[in-house]
Amino acid sequence: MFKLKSELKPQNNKLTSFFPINTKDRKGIFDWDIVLGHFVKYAYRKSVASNQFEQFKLKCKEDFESKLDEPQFWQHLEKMYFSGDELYKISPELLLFKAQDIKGSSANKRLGDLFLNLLQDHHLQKSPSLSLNFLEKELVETFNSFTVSGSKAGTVSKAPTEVPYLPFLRELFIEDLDFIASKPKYFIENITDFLKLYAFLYTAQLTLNLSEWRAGVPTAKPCYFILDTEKASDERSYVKSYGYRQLAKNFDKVFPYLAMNESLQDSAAVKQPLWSITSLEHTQGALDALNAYAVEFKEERKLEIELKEASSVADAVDNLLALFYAQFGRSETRHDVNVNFCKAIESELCGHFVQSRGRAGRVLVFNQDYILLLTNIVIGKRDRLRLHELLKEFEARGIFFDKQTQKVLVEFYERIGNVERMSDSGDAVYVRKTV
Amino acid sequence: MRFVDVLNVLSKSSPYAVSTERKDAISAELDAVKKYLYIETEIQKNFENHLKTLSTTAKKIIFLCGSSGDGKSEILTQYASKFSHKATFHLDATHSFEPDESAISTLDKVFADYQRSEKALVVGINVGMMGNYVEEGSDENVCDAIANYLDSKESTSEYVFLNFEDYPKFNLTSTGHSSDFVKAILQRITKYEDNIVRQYFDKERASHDGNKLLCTNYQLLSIPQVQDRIVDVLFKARLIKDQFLTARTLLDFVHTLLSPEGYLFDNMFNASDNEISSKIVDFDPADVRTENVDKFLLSTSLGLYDKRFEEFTSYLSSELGIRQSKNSHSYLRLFYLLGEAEIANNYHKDFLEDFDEPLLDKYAKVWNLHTHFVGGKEEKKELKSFYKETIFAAIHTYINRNAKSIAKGKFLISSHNGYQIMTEVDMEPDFTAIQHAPPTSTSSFVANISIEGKSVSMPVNINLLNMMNRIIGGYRPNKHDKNTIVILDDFADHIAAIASSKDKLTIVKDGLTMSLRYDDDEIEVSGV
Repeated sequence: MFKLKSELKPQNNKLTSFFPINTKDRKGIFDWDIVLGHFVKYAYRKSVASNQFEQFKLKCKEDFESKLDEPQFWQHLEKMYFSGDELYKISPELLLFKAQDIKGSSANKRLGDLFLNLLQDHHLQKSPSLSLNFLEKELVETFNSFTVSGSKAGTVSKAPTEVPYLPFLRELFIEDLDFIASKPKYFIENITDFLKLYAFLYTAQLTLNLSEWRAGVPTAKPCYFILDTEKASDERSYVKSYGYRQLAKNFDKVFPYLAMNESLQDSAAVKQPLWSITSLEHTQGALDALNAYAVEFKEERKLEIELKEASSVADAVDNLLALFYAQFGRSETRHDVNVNFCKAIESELCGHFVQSRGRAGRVLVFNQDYILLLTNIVIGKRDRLRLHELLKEFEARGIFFDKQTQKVLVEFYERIGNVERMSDSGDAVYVRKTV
Repeated sequence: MRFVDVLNVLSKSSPYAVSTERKDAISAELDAVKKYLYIETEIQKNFENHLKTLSTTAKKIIFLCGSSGDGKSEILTQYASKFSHKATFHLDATHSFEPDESAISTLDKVFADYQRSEKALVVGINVGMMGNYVEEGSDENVCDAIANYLDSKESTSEYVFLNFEDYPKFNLTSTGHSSDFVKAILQRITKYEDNIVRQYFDKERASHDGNKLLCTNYQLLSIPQVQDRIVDVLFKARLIKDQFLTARTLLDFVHTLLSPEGYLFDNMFNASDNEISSKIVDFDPADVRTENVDKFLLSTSLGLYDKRFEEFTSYLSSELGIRQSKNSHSYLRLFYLLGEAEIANNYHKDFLEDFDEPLLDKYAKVWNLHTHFVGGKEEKKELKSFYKETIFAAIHTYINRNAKSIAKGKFLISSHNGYQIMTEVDMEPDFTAIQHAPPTSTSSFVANISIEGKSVSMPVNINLLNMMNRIIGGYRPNKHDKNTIVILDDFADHIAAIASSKDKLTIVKDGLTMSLRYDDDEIEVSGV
């Protein structure tokens, strides 16, 4: 239920919910290993106390020295597993050591929280059962004695602070995560890409759904991609109208709209998405409060735009959104803040999926690795999917391909050999997963 | 009527390429040609049997499934009027009765009519359309039956599925491969007795303004060894490029071969708008690089013809009307096509070895060993040596590609900071699994391997076999080889998973070799 804050007053713009980027963020803010550490903590509901890495290493040394008939072999083991990132390749759970609260790395935590809010109460029940050799088994066993686990949200890790903004994407995220977690080796190799993919899909779909808040629960909005091996021509109408440009056009709404939404809610409450504000409708008190807030906000920010008298909650919210948006207008002092915010969205969350293509300008692209990952998770537990159904699953995740790209996609699948044709008809193309 | 017009019957752009229930003939002469070219197939006989045994008490739907151009409509039109008292015929599932109706809703209507009627139903349908109907159709019984068929290839008494793909167009035998289907069509077109087509050819050749090129091509096509080569190439297109071979594409392909635009051997390896041609461009024998071929290319381009070659070409020009030319690539193609044929001084046979294709033969051989394995001693021996020399050797080289010299039987499981962990893994062909493996199509077989007593299987197609051969030969796969490598990677994962549970490990670092043994919670180290 959407609940208005008891006292609505114009304050500084603040955004801590539904989006992991902050107005101070510039370039290279995310360290994905640390993000991954946070994610592992939330996904497995496990954690290690802070700064225990050295103790862990000591314990391993002890354990091994008691078992080795030549204790000096430990120095080789130490070189093998304890330098670089080798340890994390054994089991993703070891990444918990990376999820420590280091000062100045709040961005990683914010992105970790995004995934926590997608997970909500869901978590992965089983630790990945990898095929480990006896040395690695020892290491993992010792590690397990260092972890605390708890199955309920809020016991080991903190509880989610917001209701999912995109329920459809949350469901798919969980389904896909459960599948990928069932293949431990694939999981370790691809989990970062998997999270990058979802962080991007979340960004894209949130952006496209923001202004559609009146329609209620969000749905997957068309967003067209091409493959990175493909030529992008100016004539491709879907790619042109529903591709990068559509997305970039809406980036500047993210901060104002979400900040407005947050300003209506109590800071201690579990945040509700903007679209659920429709559940407030028809209460006179709410309408009055919103109207008064709008008037006061306009005065406080000295905005020149004209306010129409709102007779419904939805209209009042529209007024507020217009005001919040206007405070970042071209001639306003705050303009640069939002410009930088948009830049950060693009470079930090969309970087892997945007390319400049000469005359066609910027386009949204999928490279081979991502398309293969996507194909595998979408087919999931099934053995194979008809091309037709595969594309439907892509679209459910907000990934659309026009006919031309579909053709290139089939050629790509044929090249990697995971296509089965039952006849020459385009409908009879089955795509297999490669894990 | 000219020869070229007669041959047009073969083209996919001819009105004869598609059968419909038309009443008026386009041309009596062409009708006769088309009728002559028609070859009755096994599937047609089965289809006819099903129609004959239709009874009024047990209603059923017969689905005749295949690709476009397989000849569904051809067969259906032949029987539609003859059996109209017993069954309703729906010739084309992609067809709808009204402009605002989709194919699916038309099928819904057809199935609904069938439920109400007493008569059986016959539907010509593309396999792709069947999948669509399962998704969107409204007759649940039919949907279930089709879904079941697509999964398990099983017909029931009420729903009968006859699929062209179940009647393979190529056969693999232990000595090689053959195709009755392609051979039959090529022979029908070129045979010497009672052949309408040949009659037109004779007329064309006798005529003073006859099309010489066309006649030459037809003569070439009539050589049995050339026909064998064509079967070879088509089979390669099927296996390597996954090309569907239907009656229509095949006839159209023959049409492009005979086309008077160029000589048959050039037509064959020039991409045209025929689906098959576009695939076989890659098999162009002019791209073969051997010492012998290079020598030939070099000397002809310098104009240094040897005497035998001149003899040969002058024979070709007088007997077959092939003009002498400077294009040595075309000659290579011709040599390839002529294959084992006896012509003049047999100069072309000098190149037989260069065009040798051991891969196809090897594939045919091992495919047969797998599919027909009953446990015989001799077969066991052959299988064992194939697994050892090809599969195990390739996997060993592939998995250990990042490790310097590694002993036989040992596999790299993982490497960490320059330390390479390896272990010994025991691999054997799994004869029991091979013997009890379900049959596969000609496009692949399943290699069954027992790793440390655990059974693991790996689908092998000709491309993977080729890749394994190349890996043994020293080729390092790169990421563009993803196709076959995915399968090898998958297999490598199996090995690593099984190997890591072993209680003996060898660790190598900078020439230092250490052995570890895990025994009752103790770890014994040697070699430190």
